[in-house]
Amino acid sequence: MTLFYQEFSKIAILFLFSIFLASLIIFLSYRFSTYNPDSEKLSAYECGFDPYEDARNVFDVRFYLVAILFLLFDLEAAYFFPWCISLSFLSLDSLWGMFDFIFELMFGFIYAWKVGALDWE
Amino acid sequence: MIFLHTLLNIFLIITSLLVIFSRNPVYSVLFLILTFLTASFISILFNAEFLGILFIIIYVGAIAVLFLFVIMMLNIKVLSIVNYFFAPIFLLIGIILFFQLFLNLLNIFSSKDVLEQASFLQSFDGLENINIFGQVLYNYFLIGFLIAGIILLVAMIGAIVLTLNFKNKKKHEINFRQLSRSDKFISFFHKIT
Repeated sequence: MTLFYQEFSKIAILFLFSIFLASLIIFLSYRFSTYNPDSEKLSAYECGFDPYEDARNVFDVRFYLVAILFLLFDLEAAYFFPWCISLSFLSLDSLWGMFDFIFELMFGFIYAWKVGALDWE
Repeated sequence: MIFLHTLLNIFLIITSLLVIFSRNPVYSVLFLILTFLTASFISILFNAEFLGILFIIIYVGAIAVLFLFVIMMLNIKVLSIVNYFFAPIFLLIGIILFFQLFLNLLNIFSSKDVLEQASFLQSFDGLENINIFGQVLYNYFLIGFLIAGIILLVAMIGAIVLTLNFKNKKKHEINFRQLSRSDKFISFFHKIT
């Protein structure tokens, strides 16, 4: 048992306990609550009147664009972490390489800003 | 340790089968998230904690959201009709790809103490996974890293060009003109004495 697993065993205990607690709560709420379904109870509540349509309808593609931009900058941040940790062991090329990486993504960010990909009408 | 690894692998296979066989597409996305989480646990078990956390950040945090958006856009409620006509062909392709991957991995993992081999340098050097990633990626694979940056830029510009409607510009409000409006025009008609 190395130090790594000793450290992670606490997280594992927390994880197992959270699974146990969640399943216990779900089991108790199924077991001890009165279950009396009704078409009015099960339908989606929409301010007193019957719902017109399904809650899942077609929406603007811009949400998808925002999600893709989030994914790209998330990946950029994921590249930063190992670079920051091991900066003192790296050569000068990797420093300027990271500057180039930041410059490329900054160019993309300025393009997205100027074109109006982040704006809403 | 080996027992835990086997357990997690069986759980991974079960959840990935449930992704395919669940009828409601939202449930299958939730099982996909569970599959990603299990994969990250396996990589943490192999002392690769940074890789596991990256799995959670990127796959669960971003890619699962993209899958969810696709499902909401396609507006499929519950899959009722399943077409089994092409199933043998897909099964054949899947078996071929599986054996290709399996034989390759068997070559790599055929030595008995691959776990010790993988974590030998780490336990000797006191290096963590993230340090190894940083030193190897930015010292030896710098060109690949720069190419990754260009790919990210191309993906960003491609996504914007595909989805954005360039024709209708957003209506801007001019701030100082809004602020400098006064009630003089109204008070012209309603003289307050």
